[in-house]
Amino acid sequence: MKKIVLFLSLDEELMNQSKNITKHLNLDEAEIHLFHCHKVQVYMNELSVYSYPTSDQYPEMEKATNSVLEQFAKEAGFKNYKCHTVFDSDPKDRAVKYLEDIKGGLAVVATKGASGFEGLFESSFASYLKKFSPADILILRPTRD
Amino acid sequence: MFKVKQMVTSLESEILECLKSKGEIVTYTVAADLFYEGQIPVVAYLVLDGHIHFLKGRTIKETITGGNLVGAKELMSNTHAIMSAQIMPKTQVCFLSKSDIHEILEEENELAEQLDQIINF
Repeated sequence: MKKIVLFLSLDEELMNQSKNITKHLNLDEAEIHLFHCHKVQVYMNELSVYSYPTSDQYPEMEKATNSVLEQFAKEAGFKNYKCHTVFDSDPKDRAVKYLEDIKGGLAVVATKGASGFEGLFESSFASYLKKFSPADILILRPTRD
Repeated sequence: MFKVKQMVTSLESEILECLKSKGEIVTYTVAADLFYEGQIPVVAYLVLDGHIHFLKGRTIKETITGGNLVGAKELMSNTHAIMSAQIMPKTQVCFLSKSDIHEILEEENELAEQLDQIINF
């Protein structure tokens, strides 16, 4: 069964856009992996160095994120799916590793469309996948009005 | 001294200038542990200014200053650091993540060649 990894941002616009995957692919014979990576940030003040989120916050955040992914899957009408929430300081590298680990057959990512000067820049996440993904990629662009 | 050299590469100023535009620059206000002996560094550290101590146990074995790249080989090859590194207050470093380094290596230019040599030396 083909493994399709849908990389999800928690941005509402991008999540809605990601539902367009069903317009392009027949998902009946596929195993869909819904993947979200929280970036672990390191910051500091005059007293100490901190990382956020902290490891004791992971379980709660993982649970909350997975429930958002579950809701998304239901709204999109997915049947055979798995939710994966992870934490990493380098989400782009973690995404590629995940594709390698599960031998993903297709990577899917939604990007925000931009026109004019902004259009010169594309999502750095999608751009990274384009260069380093071991699987083919489907980029879901916003619907034009 | 020899062991520290495995983890640290001194860079020419041109390479350092190019590299620092690729990552996130942070000035530490307090002393902090960058990584521990036996740990795989989370990012590579380009030291721009200030000091980093390398320790074996609690003993400082070496101190490096600006112009050095720390932990790139360990990060890219998933190998363990042979010493701990502690950054001193007012030290400015540029974080280079694995994906930042992959993107630099993908470019076909002198910077990519130099970095490739550093990592694979």
